[in-house]
Amino acid sequence: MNRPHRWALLWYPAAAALLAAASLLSLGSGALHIAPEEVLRVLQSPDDSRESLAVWTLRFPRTLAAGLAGAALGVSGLLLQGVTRNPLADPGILGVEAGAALALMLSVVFFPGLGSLSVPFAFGGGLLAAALTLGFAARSGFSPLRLALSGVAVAALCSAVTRSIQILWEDRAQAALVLLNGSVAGRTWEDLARVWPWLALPLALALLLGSRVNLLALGEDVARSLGAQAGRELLGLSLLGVLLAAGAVALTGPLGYVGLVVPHLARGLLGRDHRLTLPLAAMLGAALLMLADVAARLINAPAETPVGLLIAALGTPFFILLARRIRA
Amino acid sequence: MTSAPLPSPPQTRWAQAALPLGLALGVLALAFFALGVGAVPTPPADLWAALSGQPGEAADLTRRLVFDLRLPRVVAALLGGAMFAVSGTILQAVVRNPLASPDLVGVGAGAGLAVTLLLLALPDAPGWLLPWGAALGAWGAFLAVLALARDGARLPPVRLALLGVAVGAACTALGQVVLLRASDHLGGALAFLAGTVYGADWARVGRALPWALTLLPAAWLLSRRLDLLALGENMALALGHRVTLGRYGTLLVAVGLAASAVTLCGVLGFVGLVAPHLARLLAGSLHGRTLPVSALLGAGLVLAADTLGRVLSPPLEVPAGLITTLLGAPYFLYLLQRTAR
Amino acid sequence: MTEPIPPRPLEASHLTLGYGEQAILSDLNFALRGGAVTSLVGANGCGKSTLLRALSRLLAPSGGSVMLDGQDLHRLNAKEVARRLAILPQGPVAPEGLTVEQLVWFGRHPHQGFLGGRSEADRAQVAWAMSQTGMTAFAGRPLEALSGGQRQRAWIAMSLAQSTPVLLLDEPTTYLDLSHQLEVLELVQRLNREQGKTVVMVLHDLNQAVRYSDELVAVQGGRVYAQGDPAELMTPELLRDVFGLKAHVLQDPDTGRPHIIPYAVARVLPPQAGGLGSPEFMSQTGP
Ligand SMILES: Nc1ncnc2c1ncn2[C@@H]1O[C@H](COP(=O)(O)OP(=O)(O)OP(=O)(O)O)[C@@H](O)[C@H]1O
Ligand SMILES: [Mg+2]
Repeated sequence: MNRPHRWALLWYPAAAALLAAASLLSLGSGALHIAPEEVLRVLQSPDDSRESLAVWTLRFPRTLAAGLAGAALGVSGLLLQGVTRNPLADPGILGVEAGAALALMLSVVFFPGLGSLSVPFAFGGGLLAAALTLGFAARSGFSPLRLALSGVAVAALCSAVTRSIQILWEDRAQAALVLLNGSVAGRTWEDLARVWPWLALPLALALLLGSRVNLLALGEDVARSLGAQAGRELLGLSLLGVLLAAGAVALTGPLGYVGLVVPHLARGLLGRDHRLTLPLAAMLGAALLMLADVAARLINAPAETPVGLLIAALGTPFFILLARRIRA
Repeated sequence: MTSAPLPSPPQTRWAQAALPLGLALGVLALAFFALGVGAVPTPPADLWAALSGQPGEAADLTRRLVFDLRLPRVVAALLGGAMFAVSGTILQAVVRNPLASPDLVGVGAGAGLAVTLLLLALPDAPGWLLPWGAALGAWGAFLAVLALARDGARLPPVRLALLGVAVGAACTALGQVVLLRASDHLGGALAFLAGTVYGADWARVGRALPWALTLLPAAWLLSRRLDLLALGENMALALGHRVTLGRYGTLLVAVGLAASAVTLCGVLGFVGLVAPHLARLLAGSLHGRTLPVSALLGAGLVLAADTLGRVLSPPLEVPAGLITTLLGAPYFLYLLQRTAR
Repeated sequence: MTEPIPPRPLEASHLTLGYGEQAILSDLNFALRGGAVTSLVGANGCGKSTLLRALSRLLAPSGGSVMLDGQDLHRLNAKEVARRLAILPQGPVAPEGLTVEQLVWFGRHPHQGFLGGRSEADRAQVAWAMSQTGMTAFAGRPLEALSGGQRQRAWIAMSLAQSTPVLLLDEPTTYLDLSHQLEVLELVQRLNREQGKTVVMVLHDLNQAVRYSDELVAVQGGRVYAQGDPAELMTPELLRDVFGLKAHVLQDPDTGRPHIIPYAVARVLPPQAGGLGSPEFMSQTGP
């Protein structure tokens, strides 16, 4: 336990520095390039300049959205991987994100008045999808590969339903299209205001529960023998993971693989102690998504590339690498 | 242990012919119905008048509507469905994996990516070139999936499907990223890759038709090799089958079918999984019988999906690929459970 | 259907077999007696199946050669081999839904042309193979709806339908109850006596091997430990060296052949990697 603690002294500041740099980059990059000093200046004293306007109305909410969603997905992935003891568990792969997106689509099309409740809706959808995935995987022996494959099929099903609804109720679905495009482009302060409490509270809670995850990661039986109420805690932590993913989806739409890559990175750096890895995963997830978003703005400038596509193209090799290491 | 005559009663012969015949009739009837469906519905009587070549201005108009717009679409659905179904049947026999299907082993997405890249590099590429490019891309993705999924000498089914899906997803994402850089025109022209026969014209049908006409009969001629391969490598060898040749020969047909079908109607999710399974349930596991039944089921499935997508809420259209996915994904989950035992 | 029996239908010279780099059997030299029933015996994993696979062209040798009627087996055309030699590998699995009759018909594949037209002779052979194995009543049943023993007999029927002068069987009696075991062995004996078929089989029951074979081949330590008449071969020494068994070898009063009654394990088997008592295990538990 001593060595990882010492490493934390190194990696926490490094991750924080990365996060700060990523924020500056994100605030400064785009069609209108703004140098870091300039960004810092307008942050301290907003004025009527184009730079200030761009930073405060466009890029700040966007950067915050990327940071929040990235942190939520990273922590969600780490929670789910810990409690299911499955290295392939990721809210995207388990179908949670697709289920949340479907629920959001349903809420926008059929209950347009309930916009403020988008996260609870997404949570319900994500939960249902997760239950389906786990249900099918449980009946076939719960191996990591089977769990992933059922998740993929559930996700395919959910997205097919989402797209069908989007086509059949085209005009009413417009609002949801922007919401669900797997991107943080165009996120506003209002979007943030609607979602942030649903993300910030569970995030804070999750960071406090590292020791519970550690217990469950030993396996249900061991956890029980050590006095944990394993079943209830497993359920609670999984719900927390799903809630975080649903919140992220309500902000950015489905973004696969963030919840897969980040936890592995965090564990690679700091080992298996979730008290240490959870905060690191939050910082790394935020930084990763911000940087990916900067790349998405730049690779095809002035056009925007949805960051979700970029992450899917880059995350897949990582997933394949992981899946190959697991014996069938 | 006394010798007894083999039971091969004549009525089973009849039953054997009845299944494909009945299916063919059903598909034909569905096609006739589909020809009448559209923004301007055509009543069956008018449709019949036009099809049977009666003179008259109204009949001429209907004829043009039907022949230029609806018929190519119906033909595309039938061909695409049959090709994916046969491709899936072959894949399942050769890799001996009930979870195999062209869209689940990377073949479909690889073909789609190749077509995108090809048209980006050569915007004026002739139509006949597309299936060749698609076949190349399909092989690339397929070989990558095989290499990644291999575990020593084994090819575990679940691993093959999972890595196939992953490689397919990566190809699709890459294709979309590439398309973002392309002109809107190209983007529109390739929108069908997502899996629809909407907007299919005779030109599109024409580029896949030669492939279908050669490879579908080829698959049927190879049906006994497929039976042998389905018995497993050892047994096939023991019975004097040249396994490596047989494997690559049949896979060549399967990949060619799926790739050229992609240039026709994009990737129609799960058709290549569901149709072969239903065909085996109905016709048993000998490929001489399963292949035609599978082709008919695939054709009917896609045509039904497309027609359903058109009549759900006209003039809006739900792409056939979405509807096949809605049906196929739950079936896949069911199969996944069954393979656990 | 009886054909002239070649005196030495299968012959191995300097045969080395293995998977990848690892050699399982090396430098084997022996010939099988034509028109005889030969049993391969040896401990689990000693290479019996490997040898049988090499004798039937399923496995290419990494050195040496196998001769079938004086011709190099691995240079012969695949179908040609399958018309002269049938093999039933260990633990075959049929695709779901395949019926017994359909399976048995596969045995005719080597005799059919590209399109697989069926002749009267094919039909007769299939019917004969099924009746010989008692499978006629199950002709229309899918294989997964049979018991393990019935399934085994269906596979044997398929090999019989190949109507080859040489028949190789890898553990044809596993999964069978005692009476069906004897039934299969008597079938083998009958095929051998009435049709002059040369049969090679892997058997684990030594008493059955002694009783039903004209010749035994004992495999141990990567080579053929001994080959010959079962009555002479079955000695306590062989049982100790090949199987690690202490056994009494008595004489069966009915047949005059040896009868084996094992009573103890003769020696501790050599330590295996990672097992209790292996060096790795010991070092892990050190201080
Ligand atoms: N495909 C293969 N790849 C690598 N090694 C193999 C392979 N098949 C068998 N072996 C190894 O070769 C050795 C001999 O195997 P073989 O199957 O010939 O044994 P056997 O005598 O038939 O045993 P049993 O009585 O259990 O059937 C074993 O150690 C086995 O682990
Ligand atoms: Mg063996």
